Amino acid sequence: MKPKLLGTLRRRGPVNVFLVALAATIFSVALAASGLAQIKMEIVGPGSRQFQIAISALKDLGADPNHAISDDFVWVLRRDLTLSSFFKIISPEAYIEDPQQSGYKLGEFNFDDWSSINAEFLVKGAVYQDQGKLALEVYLYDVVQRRQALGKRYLGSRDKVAEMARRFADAILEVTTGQRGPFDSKIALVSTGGGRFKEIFTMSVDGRDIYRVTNNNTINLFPSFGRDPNELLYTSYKSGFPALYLVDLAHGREIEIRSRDGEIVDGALSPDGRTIAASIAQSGATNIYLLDRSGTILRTLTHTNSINVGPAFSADGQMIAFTSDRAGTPQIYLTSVNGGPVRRLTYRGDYNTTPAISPKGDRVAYQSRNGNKFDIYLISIKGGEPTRLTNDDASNQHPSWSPDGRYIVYSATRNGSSRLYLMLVETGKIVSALTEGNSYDSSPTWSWWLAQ
Amino acid sequence: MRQRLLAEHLAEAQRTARSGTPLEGKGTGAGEGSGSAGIQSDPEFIYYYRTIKERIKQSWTFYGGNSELTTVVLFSIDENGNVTSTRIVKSSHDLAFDNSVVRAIRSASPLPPPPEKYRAQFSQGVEAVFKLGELSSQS
Amino acid sequence: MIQVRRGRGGWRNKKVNSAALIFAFLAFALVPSGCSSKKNAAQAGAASSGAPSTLGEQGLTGPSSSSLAQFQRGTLGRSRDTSPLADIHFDFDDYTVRPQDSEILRRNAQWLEAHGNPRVQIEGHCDERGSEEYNIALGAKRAQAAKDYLVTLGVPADRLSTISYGKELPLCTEHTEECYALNRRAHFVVLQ
Repeated sequence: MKPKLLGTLRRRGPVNVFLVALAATIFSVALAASGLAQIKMEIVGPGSRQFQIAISALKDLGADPNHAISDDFVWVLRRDLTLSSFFKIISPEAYIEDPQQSGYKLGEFNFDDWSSINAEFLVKGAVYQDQGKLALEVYLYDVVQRRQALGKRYLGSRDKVAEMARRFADAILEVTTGQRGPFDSKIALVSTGGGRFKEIFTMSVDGRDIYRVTNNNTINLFPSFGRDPNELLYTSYKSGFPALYLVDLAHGREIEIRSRDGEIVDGALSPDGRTIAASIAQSGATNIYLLDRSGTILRTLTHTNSINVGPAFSADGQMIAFTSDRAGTPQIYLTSVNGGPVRRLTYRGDYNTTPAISPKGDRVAYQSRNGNKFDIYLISIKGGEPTRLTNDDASNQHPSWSPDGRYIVYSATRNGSSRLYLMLVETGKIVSALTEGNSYDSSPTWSWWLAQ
Repeated sequence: MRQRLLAEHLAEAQRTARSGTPLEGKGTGAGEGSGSAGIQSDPEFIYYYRTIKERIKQSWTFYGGNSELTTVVLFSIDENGNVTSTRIVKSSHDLAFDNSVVRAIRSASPLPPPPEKYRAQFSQGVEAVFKLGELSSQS
Repeated sequence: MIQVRRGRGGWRNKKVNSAALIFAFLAFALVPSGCSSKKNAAQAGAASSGAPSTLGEQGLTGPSSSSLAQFQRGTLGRSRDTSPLADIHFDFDDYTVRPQDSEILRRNAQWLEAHGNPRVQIEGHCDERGSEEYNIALGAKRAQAAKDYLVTLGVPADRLSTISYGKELPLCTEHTEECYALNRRAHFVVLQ
């Protein structure tokens, strides 16, 4: 048995676990100081990828008599932890204690009530008034080690309860997986909202807070966030011609950015919000330009007589991925915002578009046409062989990364209806649909975190 | 079936042990004088060792980080199978990962009682290396 | 097999005679939209069986509607377009003016000259099979190709503007080759 073989065997079924155990057994005994042999062991890969968690209702300390706040908080937290796919939530029917009777602080409740139902983690908390504000005090307990893993106190108004839950979900992911969760954020999308016109909306990942950005009965496309989740750029035909609009979502103010040099196709807002990469059609050719917020061209990033569209910034704002058909078919290219050389990234497939650079900057997701449908692919920023992420009967398009880089939101079109879906990138697992109903939902773009 | 597998792998183990090329690990090496060769080929030891290893693996939950994460923990098992101590010998520098490893051992407790003749060794401590490894399709 | 996009009531449960569509499209491509029903296809055939040069007399001489305005009214692809200028069509993923469409452009140029060269907006459109952004750029190329052709025929360039709608305003929403062919078009809107 060679070491290399051992390495490959480890990742398979139970027989191999057995093999590994034996192999480890052979070399597991070494001399310890006491003269007794030291037993050694190697365990590769956890037996489970899902934490068992119990989420107890929040205790009412005078501010939540009908438990509506608790219900809200728990609903959002459950939804987000479920969407994360790292948690299995133990059904409340199994919970032994009464949250309104027992305590929520360490030492005020019995861990046995939770270890006996196999909870590894437990969420408890309370709702009360503090100086005229609503206060939610919430804890994550490590049931196995019988200690507090996380404690947070959120102050705010009633309409912020869902946001508090999202923030707590992100914090739970941070202490359990080592990386902050992506739920305290929003997704902008194009949706017909059940009607005929493509309008821009934003929503929370859990689908609760839906906000309509446009209502102009024309064509609205390509929503794009910078680092500030309150600022959104999109393309609209609402003035009779395509122009870019930069909208302040917090105050509803909006500026129109027209091109003096041609026809706007689409645009992406830079992470720092100071510049816009826009593709502009001029005499048939479409090239990508770096604009300031007034639409003045700062730099020409592509100089071809062909099509260059779909600019997407890297998280550090230094790089732009885009689509070009300069070599005959649409392919993904990369260039620097400083206007450096252009590098072709994709060579597989004859129709690759709509790139999105991962937050870490190491990978690019894009869509590739297979027959009459698209699928989402992933390729290293260095190039090489792409990985196909979707493989079903839908046309899968518009990948956009979560701020933590673990998920991709995309649209899947089937039978003329289109919905947003969430995928866990590492496994390619399609976690859940994020939208439902009759509307045609497309072009999702995931914002950065709301709380910086 | 299980018996046959065990016998086969025991034979394989003994062959490999004789060839003297360790697959893994560091330390002072398996070996002479301490009777460890005897331990290695003792089915009673192997069966117990394999059982607790599998129990700990099954009680280990983690998701995240990079596949390079490695934590080394020293834990002791008393004569009743209770895990009496866990100590991180070498941290992965990822607190979430380190904690998941400690939880794995703690939640596997109580383990079956160790075989009588190996009680001293198991109570002295087991040095366990936990590696996250590549994500497989098991999730 | 016929799949209907939601929200486009006009297409729901309506069986379209594709043979008639192909016929109307291939043989009488000068008729802008004959896509929505048997009746329209039949009308299109009848109209184009007359002398093509009478088209202008049938149509309005005043401003015509943009595809976006028609879409807003809910009439795009469902009732006959009022433009006196006929659409031209393009091959898949292509923007060159096809030889068989040069005659349409020649008649369009003649009509414009005869009517004092009013301002015209040329719309570029695509079928549904590409990405949204790429199709807008492709539509821009199609509109530009049509414009360049009209200019070579003597239409003053400053009377012609272009706009691309990409794949956003299809005349026809079925997922069929005939539909795709109808949607890959340059449409001419008389502005004044």
